[in-house]
Amino acid sequence: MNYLEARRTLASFEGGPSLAFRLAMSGTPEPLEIFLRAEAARHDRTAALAFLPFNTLRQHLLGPTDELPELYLLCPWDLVPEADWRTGIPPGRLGADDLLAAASQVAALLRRRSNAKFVYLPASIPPLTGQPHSDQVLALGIESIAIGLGALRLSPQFFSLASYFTSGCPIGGGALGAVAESLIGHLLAQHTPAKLLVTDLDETIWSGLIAEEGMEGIGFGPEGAGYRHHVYQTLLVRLRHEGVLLAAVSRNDAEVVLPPFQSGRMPLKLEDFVAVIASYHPKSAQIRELVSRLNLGIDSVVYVDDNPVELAEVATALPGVTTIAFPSKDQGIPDLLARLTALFGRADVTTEDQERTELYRRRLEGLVPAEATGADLTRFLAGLGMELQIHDRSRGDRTRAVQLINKTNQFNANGRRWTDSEIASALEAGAQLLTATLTDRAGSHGEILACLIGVDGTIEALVMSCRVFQRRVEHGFFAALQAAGIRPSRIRFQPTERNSPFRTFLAEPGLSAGSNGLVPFDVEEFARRHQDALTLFEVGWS
Amino acid sequence: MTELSKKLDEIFRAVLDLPASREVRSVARGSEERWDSLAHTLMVAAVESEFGIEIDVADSLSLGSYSEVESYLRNRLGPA
Repeated sequence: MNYLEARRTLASFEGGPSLAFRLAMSGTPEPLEIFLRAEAARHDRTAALAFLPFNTLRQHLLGPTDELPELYLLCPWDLVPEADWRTGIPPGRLGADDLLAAASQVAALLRRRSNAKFVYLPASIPPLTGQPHSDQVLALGIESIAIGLGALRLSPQFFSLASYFTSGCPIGGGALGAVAESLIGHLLAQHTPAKLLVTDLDETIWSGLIAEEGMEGIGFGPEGAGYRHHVYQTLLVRLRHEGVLLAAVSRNDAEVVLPPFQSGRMPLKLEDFVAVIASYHPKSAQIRELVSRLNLGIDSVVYVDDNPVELAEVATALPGVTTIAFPSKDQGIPDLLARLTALFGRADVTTEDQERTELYRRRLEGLVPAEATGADLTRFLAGLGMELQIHDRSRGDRTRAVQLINKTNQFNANGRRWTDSEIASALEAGAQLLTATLTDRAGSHGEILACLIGVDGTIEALVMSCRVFQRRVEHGFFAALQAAGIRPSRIRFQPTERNSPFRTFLAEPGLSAGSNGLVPFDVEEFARRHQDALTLFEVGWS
Repeated sequence: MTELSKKLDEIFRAVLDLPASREVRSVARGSEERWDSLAHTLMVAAVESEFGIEIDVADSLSLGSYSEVESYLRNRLGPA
């Protein structure tokens, strides 16, 4: 976006929800302002911007944090002041190690900022150490520290020494639009990792066209045309082990596409996928059907294909899906892998994550019939041999409970995300954290429900995995709590864009549908109405 | 009017917030009180953005009127 385009975007923008944030940078922010407002408008948001006075970043870091979200645009000299071009070259040589140690202290201050996101501009730095090699170590060290903060790295080309000398703004006029796009995109980016990676097969999982060239004509090994496909596969294997669900869609016949997976020669095996779909339906229809059967949100899907027409078809039919082109050149592979890693990255990997593919495969095989209701449903569920194990996680390992609370969108009472330390504080104050594990005749579904009950009896967090919807786990859980004398009195409810399944739950007897805030919860009445649910489960406590 | 002049007119009017009645091509830094140091910074950034160039600090300081900016751009970009 250039300057006049930004003006026109703003002129035609009728306004949208506020996007309030502080752009924290040591340089002059004003040239960026119109571009940030225009970029926010492109996302239908009205930017409400605050800036720091010129060159006061360091003072700001020493002050208290406030409620306003902060976006830090960092340059090397924000971490190492001696590297600031505007102050010239220090008379004596400086040591890279000392400078990096000081930079780490600044990073520690930055890390303390709650509600902050970071962007790093890897501008060139002046020679400080007297040794080109050490200067390089210093530059990379500063960058490494910034990336360690979780910073988004901008292109070094965006730095303009001329602009920095002229106005104190480190970004050249020609790059202001691109930088604003990165900043607003980073600010709006969701923390929730994507869940399902859907990949094309021909020219993506392997080189060549399996239907035309046969098993011997395609490439997937670490050599020749198959090399980049091999590397792509190895990343998918790792993602699958970290809990990412993999699916393949291909316009082919099933008997044609399965042999490479069955050959045992590829990094990916058939069991790494929740589904390999080969049909001649549009790819969007294949994905829609799969997502529906897995009970996932469409915006948790990433689709990779080499064919721009297929990508466009999916992007048009399913706008919530993130579409990524598989590169036609080897040079594009690093960017592809970095993007996938960012989209699917998660801080911790639990046993649940590692077993997720198997759980979802089981889900596809033993899905509750969608049309089953009433007596049919009860009969079906009774035949599953379900065991509900309830755990008190108020002490000990609660990693899975925290993860469940923070990534569940649909059956979620209020959408609030909790840090582990916030939960720790609540528990110290007397709250109780309960979870439930479900097992049935097909095996374990893992820990699928989490409930945080405050000391005053308010359920502050209540989430349940969508993979056990329709199994009446929520009924069995609260009936079991009531039987054990645990009787929460209300639920902190907040409607979100995604929690309609929870709103359905609020229509149950003993609850009050449709009211925001604190919803009274008569557990005795609820349990009485759902006493039959207890007959569906073998309930245990630990 | 050339494409360059049209864009430059629009930039000057926007950055300096000039009324429609004001003749933009006679604007000079010494005679237009809205052309302060911040406006100059925004002007240079807008020109860089719109014309895809980078302006060195020495050149930036020499741009004190509409006609000087226009002349500078014609030299940098060649005949429009």
